[in-house]
Amino acid sequence: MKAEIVLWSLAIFMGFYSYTSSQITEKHYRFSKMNKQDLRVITWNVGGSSGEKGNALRYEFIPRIVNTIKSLQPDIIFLQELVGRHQAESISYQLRGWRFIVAKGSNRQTAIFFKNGFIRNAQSIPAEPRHFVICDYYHKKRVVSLLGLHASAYSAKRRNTVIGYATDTLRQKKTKYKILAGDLNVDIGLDKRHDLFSDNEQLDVETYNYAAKFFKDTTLLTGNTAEPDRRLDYIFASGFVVKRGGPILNVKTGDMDHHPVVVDLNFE
Amino acid sequence: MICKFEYHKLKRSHRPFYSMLSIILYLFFILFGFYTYAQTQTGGQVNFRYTFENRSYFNGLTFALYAFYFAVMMVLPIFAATEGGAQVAGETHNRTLYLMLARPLSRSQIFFSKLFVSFSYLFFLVGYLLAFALLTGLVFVGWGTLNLYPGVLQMSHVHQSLSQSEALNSFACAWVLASVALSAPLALSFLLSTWIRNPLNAVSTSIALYLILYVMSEIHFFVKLRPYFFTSYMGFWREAFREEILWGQIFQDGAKILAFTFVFLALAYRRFRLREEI
Repeated sequence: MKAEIVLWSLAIFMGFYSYTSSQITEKHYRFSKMNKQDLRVITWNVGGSSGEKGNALRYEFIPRIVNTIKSLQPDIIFLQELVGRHQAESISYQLRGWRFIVAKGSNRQTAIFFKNGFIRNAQSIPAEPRHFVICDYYHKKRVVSLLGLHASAYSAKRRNTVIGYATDTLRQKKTKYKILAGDLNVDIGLDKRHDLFSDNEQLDVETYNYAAKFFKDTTLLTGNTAEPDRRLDYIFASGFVVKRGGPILNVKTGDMDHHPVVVDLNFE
Repeated sequence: MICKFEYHKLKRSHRPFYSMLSIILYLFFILFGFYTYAQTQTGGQVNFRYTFENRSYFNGLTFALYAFYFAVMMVLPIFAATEGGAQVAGETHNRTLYLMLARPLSRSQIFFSKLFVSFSYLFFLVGYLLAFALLTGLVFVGWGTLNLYPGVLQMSHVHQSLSQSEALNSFACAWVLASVALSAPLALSFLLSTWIRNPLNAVSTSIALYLILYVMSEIHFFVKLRPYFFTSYMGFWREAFREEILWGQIFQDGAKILAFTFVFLALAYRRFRLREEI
């Protein structure tokens, strides 16, 4: 009888200890006007999940996206899955004159929007399955190299090629500050199996680690960015101090399956 | 005295011999797979690819870690289930439990001596596997720096580079922590062993239950249920492989595993104490 009491006591003590020592932390990004930073960056895949292979941004969702962007007060926005240049122009108009560059190629294009400063050396680089964009952004007397990317959702090999190529292209820039952002379609979180979604999980691990070798994953451990429970959207950066960042939940609308991911950066 | 008696019974059962033989076979297969994979990945047979894998990555310490990881998650729990399941149910089935109870021994002495010997045996088996894996790695591949990348074996969120001595210290910690992790499937099989009188049924049910819980804790569809499975915390020993070990996290997950272990043991002991031998 005594032994049984001891065993139950030990079980209760261990359970109590593990429960009280676990820290409940808010991982997701929470906007506050009190936040101070040099640069706020957003990446957002605004496409939808309807149909066999999803769809690009629907026009009726643009006001919602614009309102979200306005409320977050970013400096740079990377958007993926725009129908074309005219849609980027529409967003720019509703944001009251934000400028942008947009990738060439077929629909579901990648674009970079910016409020202040100016851009030079913008290029749309062909890749499979779609172009990515790279440019130099001049802001507050500093130059930041930006690269916006949307990797293949269905082929780990294509993801590996385009992300590796984009990483090398950005690395070769002589600027101190660099940002690579977009929907990389790579999910390698620790707490779950991913082979249900990838045709080559090992290759995805290698792809992520190749980018992480040269740039900091600024929103690491901040939660999932896409449905269902997947972390696919990244903001990699180098040269900056990361203040805070993470996905913002409950702003996606309609059939969108990605949350916007935000990071606040300071120049080192 | 009773522990010595249990030790002799374990020795005579030949289970340690077969377990050690199985571990050697397991390590042979892992070594074969590791060697052929490393050759394919670094021998120029892979087309253009952005990767971290190279000849220095595939060293003896990486081999030992791969072998240890899969052993603790999938091989050793089966040995634990076999050992625990065979204890009380085995004695009941062979009708030797009557003889033990006829002696001036309390039920708690019998129960805890069986538990102590089983756990000690499991602790030895984990150490044996780890030592053999490290030795095999040293002889056939050679040691070096242990590099852990995010996504590989779900070990770390950021790249960890452990020097040889740091890695060996981590392996030593992992030995103890993995043994603690394996105490939960051992306790579960003890519980089943007190309920089921046939050892074959007790062992097979323990293994089946472990595999079901393991699969459910691995697939993210069951994300809401995961906190209630001890298998979700079985890999907590992986935290030892860090440049800066987060002991708080280790104690927290270790406490969860031990909570499950003590609940199973308390239930098992209660059943053993109250049940009638017929």
